[in-house]
Amino acid sequence: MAEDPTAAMAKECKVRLKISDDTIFEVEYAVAMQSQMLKNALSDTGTDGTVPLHNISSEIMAKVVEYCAYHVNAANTISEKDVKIWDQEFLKDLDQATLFNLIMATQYMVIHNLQDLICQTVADRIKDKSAEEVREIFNIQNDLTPEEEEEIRHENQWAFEEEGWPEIQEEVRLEG
Amino acid sequence: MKGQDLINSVIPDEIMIKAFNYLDGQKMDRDSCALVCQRWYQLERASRHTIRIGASDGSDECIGLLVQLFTDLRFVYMDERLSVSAQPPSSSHLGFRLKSSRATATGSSSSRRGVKRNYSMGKYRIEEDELEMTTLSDLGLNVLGKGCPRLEKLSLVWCSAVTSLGLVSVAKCCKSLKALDLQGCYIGDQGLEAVGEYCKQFEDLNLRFCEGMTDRGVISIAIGCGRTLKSLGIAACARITDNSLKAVGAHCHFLEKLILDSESVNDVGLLAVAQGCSSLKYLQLQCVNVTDDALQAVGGLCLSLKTLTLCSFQKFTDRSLVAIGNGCKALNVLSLSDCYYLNDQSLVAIAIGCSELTQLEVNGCHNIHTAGIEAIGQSCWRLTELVLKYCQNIGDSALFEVGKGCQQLKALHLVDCSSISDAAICNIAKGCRHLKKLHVRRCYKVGDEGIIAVGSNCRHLHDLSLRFCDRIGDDALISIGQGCPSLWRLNVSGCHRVGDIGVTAISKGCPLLTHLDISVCQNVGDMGLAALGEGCSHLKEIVMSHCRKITDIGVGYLVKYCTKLEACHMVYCQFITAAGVATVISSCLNIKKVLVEKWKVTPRTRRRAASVLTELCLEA
Repeated sequence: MAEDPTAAMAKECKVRLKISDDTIFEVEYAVAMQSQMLKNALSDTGTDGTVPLHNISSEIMAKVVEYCAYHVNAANTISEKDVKIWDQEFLKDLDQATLFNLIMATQYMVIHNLQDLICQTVADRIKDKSAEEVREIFNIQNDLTPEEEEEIRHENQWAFEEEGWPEIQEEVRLEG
Repeated sequence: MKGQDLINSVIPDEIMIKAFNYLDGQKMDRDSCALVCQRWYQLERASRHTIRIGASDGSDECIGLLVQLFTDLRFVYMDERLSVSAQPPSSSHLGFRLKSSRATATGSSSSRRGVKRNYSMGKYRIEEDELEMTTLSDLGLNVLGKGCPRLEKLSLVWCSAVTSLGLVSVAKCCKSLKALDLQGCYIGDQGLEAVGEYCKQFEDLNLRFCEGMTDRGVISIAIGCGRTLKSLGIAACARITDNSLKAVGAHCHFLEKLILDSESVNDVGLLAVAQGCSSLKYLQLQCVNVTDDALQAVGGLCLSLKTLTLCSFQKFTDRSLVAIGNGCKALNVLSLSDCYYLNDQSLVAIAIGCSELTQLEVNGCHNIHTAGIEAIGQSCWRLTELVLKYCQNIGDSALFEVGKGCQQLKALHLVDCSSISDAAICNIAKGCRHLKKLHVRRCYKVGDEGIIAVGSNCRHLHDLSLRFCDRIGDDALISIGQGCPSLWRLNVSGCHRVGDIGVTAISKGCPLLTHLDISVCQNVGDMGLAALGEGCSHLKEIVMSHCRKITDIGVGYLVKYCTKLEACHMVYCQFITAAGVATVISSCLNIKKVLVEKWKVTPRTRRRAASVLTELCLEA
């Protein structure tokens, strides 16, 4: 973060965010700065007014603020390892709807680290699963015809298996 | 009640692609994503960055199709040594997707949200019935370059029909090229000159068996990409000499990694690099004509060196390693293979000077004895991995010191260390309680006692291999079963005293086991296999060749429960019949490899599973 002479002073300020049901969230300046979108908005208008965020619900906003507040605090005080553990806990029991709304909020408010974290979490849910299992998890309808599926399987085989990439087996050489 | 498909209704394309990219490039995961639904297929294909292609897929036509399917390729590996097990794509198959999208303009493809593709297939005629099986040529590389503008890494292995022209066209189209790996190709200097001219972010060059390459090509890279070059590897390229290295020393001041395997390199070349590349972190040398004079200079000038690997009968003496010990205080990894002239003094100097040492390998250096390793044990408390191969002269007291001083040790490999006995292993077990990996091979003095100590002390053990240590028996495995619940890889091949009792103990105590090798364990029978079936449901790979007692019954029990099995080796098992083989194939849906005698494969089995069978044909 750039060293802004007014940063220390601004830290004392609170930023007012008006969300979808017209509730006002008051957050510390430093916390709000985690969002690139707010950073830009506030650099123009200053911290006096209220920033409208009509497409974010209070439930989601609360989670966003929780994340940003923790990370502001953790920046220099908490070890990377513990931050990772906190991040995992933070997302742990969230249902899909909340998770995805949270992603959209990070998209709108431009909060890179939270978005990356959620994308990683989604990827973790996809890892090591078959297509059918993935569809189960995310309630996706299979709109591929059997011919198309066969076709795609064929394409997949076309490009070589990464894991099967041959290495000279030491065992084979020596035991012979 | 089935829930809503939120991921496709809420999440936009760019975030889906971001999530795919977090799959760590795992092909299996990406393949699954492509099969989920239309939208995921399109997004996956548009965002897959890595592709590896074998021989018969490497024809120019295939490349053309490939770059149209995968539109954002960044890492392309082509290896013509490899033949593909799957049927190579025929135009009728692959063209299908493209043909059908072309034919139905908006009609049926309205359900697809995809990127509009530009089908410039006009140039390449695709025969309906035959696809020419030519290898990759310059034309194909041209198509590849044009189709992958964001190409970052290109690897061409034994692509014999490619010349400089192909590489020139890639260089011109792919200005972001960062890494180039050429092995066994006839590409000449012109190709590298083009890379030097057009690819200003180029970082990594690796050349192996490139007969066409001379100093001219490498020098043009050194000059053209001097500011960005970080890694250079030259192996078996007889026409690349010290002149190239002088240019590297003169222009590539940010070089971090150098790998040289060459008879054409002498002291003057390495000296030039040492003088010019003070950021060098990784050095690997297999150059018979380089001597202490140059390596000493490395010790004096390359103070950031972290990894040093010296291979094969080089002339280096203790003088060099003393200099390294004095100068390279950041050294983490040291690997010495067949360095006949190095004595204990070398390791003493390293031990004293390089306190950051974490990995050490000594392979066939017959003049390094116990004292050298003792010194390491006394000083290198950060050591996490120790590999001693063909070290008949290293005795127990060396490992006593390691057990005392290297409490962070995670991996120990001993091969053909005939002087190491149980006492040494006990000391390691008691001192290095974080041990995760222990590989002992043909150390005939190691028996049950040592391994029992490992079972009692090394709770975190993941990977245990005791090949051909024929004094080891069931008692060792009972202790491992009791003490190492995280074990996932076990190899007791050749430990012929091991029987059903030992295998059963492992199955009860190590539920996470995925890889097991009990080959040549002639006392293991059906009871052992049944126990494995009950206890180790995650088993992926089993090698039970030469297990004379096992029968179809045991195999049946095994595969009844171990349904995740992917590989099964069972040659020389006289009581396993065709029925047993068929049972394996039908029970294990994920099976990828079965090694068995040819006559045990019925025509029906061969029809079902041709692609996974590796059949052993014995001459009568």
